[in-house]
Amino acid sequence: MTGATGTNLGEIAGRVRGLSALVRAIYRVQIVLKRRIPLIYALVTFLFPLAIIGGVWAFLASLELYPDYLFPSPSKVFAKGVEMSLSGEIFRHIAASMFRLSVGFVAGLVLALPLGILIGVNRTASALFMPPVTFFQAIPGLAWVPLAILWLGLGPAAVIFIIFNSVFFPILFNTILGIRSIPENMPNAALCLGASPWVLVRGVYLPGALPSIVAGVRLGIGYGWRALIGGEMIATSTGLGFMIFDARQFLGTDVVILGMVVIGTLWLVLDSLILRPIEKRTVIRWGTVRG
Amino acid sequence: MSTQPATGVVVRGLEKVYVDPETAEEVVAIRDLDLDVPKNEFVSIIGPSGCGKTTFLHILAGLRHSTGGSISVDGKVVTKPGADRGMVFQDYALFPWKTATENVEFGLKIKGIPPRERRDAANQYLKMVGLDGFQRKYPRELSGGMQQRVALARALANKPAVLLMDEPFGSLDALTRSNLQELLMRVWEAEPLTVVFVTHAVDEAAFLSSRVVVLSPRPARSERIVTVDLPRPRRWAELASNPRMGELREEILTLVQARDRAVVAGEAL
Repeated sequence: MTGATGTNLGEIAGRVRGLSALVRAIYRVQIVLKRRIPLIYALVTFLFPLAIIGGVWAFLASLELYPDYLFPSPSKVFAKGVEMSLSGEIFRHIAASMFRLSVGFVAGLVLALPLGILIGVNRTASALFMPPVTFFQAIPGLAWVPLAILWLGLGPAAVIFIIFNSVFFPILFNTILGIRSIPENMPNAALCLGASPWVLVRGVYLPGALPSIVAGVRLGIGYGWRALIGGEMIATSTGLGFMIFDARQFLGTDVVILGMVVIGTLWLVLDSLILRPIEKRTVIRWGTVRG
Repeated sequence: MSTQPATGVVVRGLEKVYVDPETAEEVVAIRDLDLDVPKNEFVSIIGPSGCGKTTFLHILAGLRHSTGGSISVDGKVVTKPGADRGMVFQDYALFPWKTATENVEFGLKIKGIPPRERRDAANQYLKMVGLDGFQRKYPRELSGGMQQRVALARALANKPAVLLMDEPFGSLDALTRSNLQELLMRVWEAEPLTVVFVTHAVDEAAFLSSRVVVLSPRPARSERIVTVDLPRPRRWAELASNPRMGELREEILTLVQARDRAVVAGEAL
């Protein structure tokens, strides 16, 4: 009995050990690949999970549980994408959306940054501005759509206003947080080295708060991106949001899904190729000493 | 020496009253404080914790306002912070996004010194504090003692009229602390400048200073001044066994403890 159990356990242990050797081998191959072909490795590991989703989608579509016009296959959406690329229509929508996002973002940044620094540095300004700012922060960007349309008319201005609203608050709050997390003696040291108020802002407060500000920018663009699509569905006749919303009238589910894929892809590219690297770089360079 | 009020630090009738944010009562932190630090003298200020020594140093730096009295440095009345009063903080207060060199260059850049000269000066001062070869390191890559050396170089490179030091070695381990104390002595003995050094360590005050000012408990005023007649250059190896060092330590300690006891007695009443 004991002998038999012993052998069984030994066998299991042997198999587990064999498995862990396999895991280690895979891990070693991974390390080597990562070092030898870093770009291809990154691309493959990045695309792999997405490819699985695509595969599941294609499989579900092939079951034909829904008619083709309600649940289009990947190939149909891809064909639509090629068609709209060749006609240039999709690029017009992308350009319109990106333009609105950029203008709204720049406006939000330009206003949130100085106000955030002021609130972060000055106690009186903080007491004065924080209650109204907190009040308006609670109102989602899209809640402004009716007023934006009434004030600014149907068109890009209304959408830009809504994006501005979504971008402004995360950048503002992160700037305040960043300023307040700067140790008190850092600006004091600058003052004792002869810093003027302007040097203090540019040379200490702004760089000191930068990691937090960059995180706020990333968050703000994410919120702005969502508000953009929502706003375009209602207030404009171009842009990716409009494209999606307009297509439903003709049961153009392929256009709807194409629009979603484009939105997701653009964000993925924006975030992983631009925003995240910037955030990572500042956080690493600033190090752990900033608290 | 102290009859030349035009140079060095001159403090007359300094007073600091603030409102306690919790009790809404007025607290007198400093009252009638007079102090003379002649040019190129090293003076330590020692006193029980919470007696207002850091507040005093901040007022000297211009980082806080006094509510009465006057301060002048080399004849210039202090109203706001300025490059003529360099400061070294207990928490180093280096800029983490700047390298050692860039940290030292900060004040020189403000003064408008051209890049080439700035770099040379920064290198020279980093070398002086024993950090040659660490020019391109970021603060997070340096130990606490090395960071404080950078902070010292940064303050010295600006060539201040007075160097204010706020318990600069307070958060370092004992070995690093004594190393930095000797370094500070070497630097000061090679190129004397006016130093006001705040500490609560009796040994440190006796080792470094020409004179030690013992502050009374709150409200702070300069109660007693002990002249430290130890030979220079000062090195721990020689001074540790010097009987005079022991006497001075005893004297200062007795004064500080007497003040401390006065507080306890006062609270008991």
